[in-house]
Amino acid sequence: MSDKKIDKPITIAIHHCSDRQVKPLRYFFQSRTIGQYELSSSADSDLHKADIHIVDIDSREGFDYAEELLETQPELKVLCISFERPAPGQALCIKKPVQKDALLQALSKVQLAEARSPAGVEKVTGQSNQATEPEQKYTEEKKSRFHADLQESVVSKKTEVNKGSVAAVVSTEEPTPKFQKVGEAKNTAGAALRLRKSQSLPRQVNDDLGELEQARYQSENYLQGIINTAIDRSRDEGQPVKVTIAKESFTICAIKRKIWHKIKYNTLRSISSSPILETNTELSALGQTNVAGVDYLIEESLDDFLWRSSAWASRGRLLDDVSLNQNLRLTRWPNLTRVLLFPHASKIAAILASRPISLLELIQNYKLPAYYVFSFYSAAASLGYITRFDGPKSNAEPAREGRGIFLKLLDRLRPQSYKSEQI
Amino acid sequence: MIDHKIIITGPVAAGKTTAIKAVSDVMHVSTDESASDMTNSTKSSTTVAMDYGVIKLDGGQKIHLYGTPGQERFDFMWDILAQGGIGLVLLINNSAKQPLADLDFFIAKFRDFIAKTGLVIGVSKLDQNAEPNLNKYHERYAALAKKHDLSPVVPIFETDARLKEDIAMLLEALLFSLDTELSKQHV
Repeated sequence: MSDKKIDKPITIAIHHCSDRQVKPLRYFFQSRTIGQYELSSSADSDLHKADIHIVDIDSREGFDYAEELLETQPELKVLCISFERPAPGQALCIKKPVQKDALLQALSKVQLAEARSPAGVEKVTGQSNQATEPEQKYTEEKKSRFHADLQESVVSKKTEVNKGSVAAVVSTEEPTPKFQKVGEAKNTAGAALRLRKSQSLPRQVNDDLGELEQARYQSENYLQGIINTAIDRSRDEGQPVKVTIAKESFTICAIKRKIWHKIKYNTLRSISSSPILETNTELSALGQTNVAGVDYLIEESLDDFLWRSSAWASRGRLLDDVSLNQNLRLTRWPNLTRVLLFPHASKIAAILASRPISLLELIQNYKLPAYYVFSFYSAAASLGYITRFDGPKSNAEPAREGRGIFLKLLDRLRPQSYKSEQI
Repeated sequence: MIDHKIIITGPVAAGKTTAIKAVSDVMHVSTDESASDMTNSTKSSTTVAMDYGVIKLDGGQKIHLYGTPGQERFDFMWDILAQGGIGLVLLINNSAKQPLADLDFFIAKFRDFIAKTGLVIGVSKLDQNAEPNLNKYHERYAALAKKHDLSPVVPIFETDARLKEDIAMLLEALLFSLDTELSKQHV
């Protein structure tokens, strides 16, 4: 444990920890480190209110979150915890279950390290390399093994289907348009994010057009593409189609616009947001089978399901089929009272419905975060709700009388409306 | 101080009264009477003049919510209530015999008002009757918009009038449809 004297308690924020993990951590900080460390309750709204951020990276969301913090907020101090997963970038990671001494030691190291920067990264790395704790060694070993596996895995998969050069394969994230086992998809998705740093997801308005242009993905490599293929087949054959991906299955009826499944929310989210590479996906027509009799627990709108899956696949990235300058128009509003609602969705829908406008104008003129504009486009385009427009454009409407009261009403309605969800 | 009013209309049993109750800040005023005609088969009482509710805003301003009576024989009230309104919330009862015909009827009746203001459509009771589905409403509205020279795309949402969230989302969509430039100012 560090002997450094600490005058003011260091504030700690914990992210993406399960209740089971977070309770002992809370207890530890609230009872054993009084005056030295304290938990921050407001760091979610302002990340800078915490001195150190502890992120559980065992979930996909936690790993992505840690990675984004490292890339987009280099001034923040991040400590990762995991059972065995190597931390993204050069962050320090300790093994779960977290031991008191290891935690205090790691916190001291993170706290003493200077803000991360190209130079700062080296300092953290250097310190961690000198560490003698078994956790650190374990993490480093795992990290190098993981990266080696990763490279090998991606290269071998790509080489099987594409005889192109290995270098070219590794440098591009998008998998081939073949399907992959869901279990493998997680690793490949994480690998892809690390392999192509420039594809980090923009969280807010970003004027760096080069970076925006690189945030692309192909729908056919994700669940949303498989669903659309199944919809086409169901429509063409006039009967429900059963889709099996690894251990999960669902049945789609294009005519009724319904889907039946028993996939848990988080599982669906995970499947949706990971590329699916190998031909482990099976589509089979059900004939005139009564799908209601199939052992499914959930019946829901196919459009809502596809919207959700597409939004999760996008996560702020843009489908690769559209230019930022292409004028677009919404042909119908998504069913915002029932679909997965993410921030700014109603604003984006209203603007796109009112007149042809490009994604670039949406982002720059309306100060809308690229992350949500791209997510909206990707989800709406997947459902066929967006069309390209090449005719002359009309101007935005002039200021309207009563705008002040409209703004007040929006503020008043917002707490009553559905809570939008981070995607 | 300028207040504004939003009109909520639709056929009998679409949930107009319930919708106003869901978002109004004051005990809403209603003119319900025992249903004495064919309405009796769908509900025990019905609005004969109007429903009224208020959403109170900062600075003492108010948004008034006016619900029209659903029965066609009270349609003389519709124009009166709509005067000075900033937008229309049209609720359609999907468990009715011909909900798409109801859509045709109300769009035609309020055509001039919609052209000057804005429109959102809430389809209620889809859980009781899945057909026609929302796709069919979008298709029908597109044809009506062409016929009546109205905005080709309007928000059409599945709506449960008992849910405050659903009504709030309809109103939010209406506001953004009325003034997309609000987006620049509202974060």
